[in-house]
Amino acid sequence: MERKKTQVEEINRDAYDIANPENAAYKVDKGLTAEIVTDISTEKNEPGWMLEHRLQSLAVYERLPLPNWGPSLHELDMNHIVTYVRPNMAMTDNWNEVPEEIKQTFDRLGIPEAEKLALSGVGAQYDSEVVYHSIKEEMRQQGVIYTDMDTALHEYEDIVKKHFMKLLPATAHKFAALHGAVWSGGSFVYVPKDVEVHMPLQSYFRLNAPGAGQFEHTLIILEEGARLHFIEGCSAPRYNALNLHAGCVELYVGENATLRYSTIENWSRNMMNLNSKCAAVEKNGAIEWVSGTFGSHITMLYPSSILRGDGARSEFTGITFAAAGQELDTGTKVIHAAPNTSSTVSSKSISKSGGKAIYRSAVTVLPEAKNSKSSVSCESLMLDRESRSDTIPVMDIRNDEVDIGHEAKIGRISEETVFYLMTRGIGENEAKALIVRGFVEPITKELPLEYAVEMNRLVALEFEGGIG
Amino acid sequence: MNTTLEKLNRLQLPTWSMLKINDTAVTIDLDGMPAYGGNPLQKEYSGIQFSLEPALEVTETSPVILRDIREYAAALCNYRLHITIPAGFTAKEPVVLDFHLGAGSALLSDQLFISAEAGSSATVVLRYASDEDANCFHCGYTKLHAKADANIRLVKAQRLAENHTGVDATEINVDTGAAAHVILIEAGSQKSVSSCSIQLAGNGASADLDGAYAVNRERELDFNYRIEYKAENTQGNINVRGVLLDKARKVAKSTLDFLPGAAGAKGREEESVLVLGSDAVNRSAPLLLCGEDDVEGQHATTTGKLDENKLFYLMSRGVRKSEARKLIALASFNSVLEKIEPDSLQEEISSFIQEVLGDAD
Repeated sequence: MERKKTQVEEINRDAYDIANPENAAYKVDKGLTAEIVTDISTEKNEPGWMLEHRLQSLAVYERLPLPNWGPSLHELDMNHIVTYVRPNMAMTDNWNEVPEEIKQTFDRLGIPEAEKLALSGVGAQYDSEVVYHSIKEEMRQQGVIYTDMDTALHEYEDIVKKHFMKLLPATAHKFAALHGAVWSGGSFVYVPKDVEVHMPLQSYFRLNAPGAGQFEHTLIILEEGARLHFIEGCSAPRYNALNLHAGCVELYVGENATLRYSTIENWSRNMMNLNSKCAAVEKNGAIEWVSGTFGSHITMLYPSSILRGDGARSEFTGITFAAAGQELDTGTKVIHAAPNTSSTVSSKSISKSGGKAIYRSAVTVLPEAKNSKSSVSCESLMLDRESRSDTIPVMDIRNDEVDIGHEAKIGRISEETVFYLMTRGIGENEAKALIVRGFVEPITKELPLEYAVEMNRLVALEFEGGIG
Repeated sequence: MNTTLEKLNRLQLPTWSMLKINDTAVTIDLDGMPAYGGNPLQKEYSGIQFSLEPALEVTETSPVILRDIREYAAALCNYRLHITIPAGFTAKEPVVLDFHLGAGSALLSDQLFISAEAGSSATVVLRYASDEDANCFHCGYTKLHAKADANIRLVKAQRLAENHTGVDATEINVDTGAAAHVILIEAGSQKSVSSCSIQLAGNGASADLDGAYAVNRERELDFNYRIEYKAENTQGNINVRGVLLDKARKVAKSTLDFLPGAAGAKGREEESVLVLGSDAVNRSAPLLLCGEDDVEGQHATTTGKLDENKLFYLMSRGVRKSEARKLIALASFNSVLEKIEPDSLQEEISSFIQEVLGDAD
């Protein structure tokens, strides 16, 4: 008898999949050449050192091979990717000045509403450039800087030059090099000493042009004692052409500072998402990653934390949902580089309909990181036999004063737990719904509210028999 | 001239190259190294068949994690033996093969084939040791086939001298209703590379792989253990206990691989490592791979120092700190040590671990 399966509805993508007609003010030719890289820099009127950095990155890109591990990237042909598409408008801090069709796109995504209700500031990028950026006046008065990277490069050039691609140099990997060559857009945040930003800042990245890449750069600097919650959202409509996302996020967390960085990657199924993120944390500082990976055809995403100050800590909370045609290779890297550092990793994945979810991590404890602690936990729930779920964790421990634990579980819903709940008067379907909601609950409660709602929609269940 | 054996112990699914965990290599000077000419069988075992001509073929589908060692062992082979435990036969004592390498018998490359016929039961013990003052190298491949309802225990103890290198692979097929108990001991050598792949091929097949290692000074150990669940209601566990001291370097790779069709399979892998040397390097990659939803797979890895509470408890009862450390560390091996046969080998391994722990004073 064919087993009936629990159906996990996929997210309703109606709001994301509406594409606008292309109306670019400028775009470079397809492909990746020194001329294209120079054109981007010239278009943006960048200082000479940035053009030099771009060209050096291009040389590194050409030298580095594709990764010999992880998902196959054979479908990616840079000769068919447009690396820079400038929308037909200048950046503004007045929502009324945003062209109607772009405004409607962000309206559908709920960005202006969120800005009014729950954010200290918003940035909205459309294709390769930021079209709207605003920050509440009280934040500005406290010295908080929140602007786009182009503005930052001109107005805060020394700060950018000191930090840009220092945590993720072009040599880190092939797609960091690609980013270094063709980056555009993104956000710059600077929070002065002891300033707490009470409501989150949010940047939203929307890629509209088919066959294009988006390469935004996010640079956040928290001085000593500062606090910030930064939210990043991304989406793109679905096209037949392959799109590429190779953004780069660099986070500098000062002494006693705390940064929470929440991301929901919800790209369409024609997207290759090869994003890079890294945080450096100073003494007693903390980085908290909250990461949801729902969309894309292929994702390779491993937010990294370098704990380089005594007592620094990192938390990684991640959930991945892989459905048909998706190979989502996600996880995290932590480097304990100072004494008394600690890290916790909690990762969950659901795979269904042939989706492939891979958890990949590396926890490295260097010799000087005495008295460090790390706890890694990953759980995978498979909803059918067509799907895959793999965990590939590595621990590299180089001193004897450590406490490191790693646990992983793979499986389907426990029949015993269902039975237990049923003996207490709960119907079978509701019992199973409770269990799946319980599975994702530790993650959803960490998400920003609007994303938690989205996540709960994602796991709205139609129960017909057992999972499997 | 040096010969390099490359791409040994490949991680089943590779990961970041910078972690240097995807594979390993050894370089050996084989020139003038006399071939092994000893007789590892110390006595006759009635009811068990021994033959120099193997009836078991090396399968083309050997798992990638041990394929390279298998091929090197075949290329260098100077000792081959096939052991058959007849159908329904129960061996009353362990079958012991004791390989000893020395000046006149320095290069051992063995291919051992063990066929446990249907319903048979036996313990096979393989011990590899060497004289310190010779230049010795061991490269071995063992294939064990546990046929339907057989119950077989395989104990392999690597006891090479501190300046020697050992490379070893074990491939095990377990058929319907059969059980394989594998105990792998790493207690010696300068560099040891060890792999073991178990295929649970028949419904209800089961396997337990217990490993123990003690690595000190500047020794290196790279092991790669794997259980593949191919049939329904199979069960397989990996349990490893280890201690690292001084500048020891260890890479542990272990994989539970649930293939489609392994409904009802259960597996657990666990590694517990005590690190007692501030310069030791301890790397672990416990993989959990799953292509079947109706399974339960778990892994757990812990790396830590000695439990301070236990240490205090013993010291408060008058036990010297160095002795208390040894007692606690040794106790962590008990779950594996108690399964080693024969008793003389168990004592030998226990003594080696105590000797290694002695360096921690």
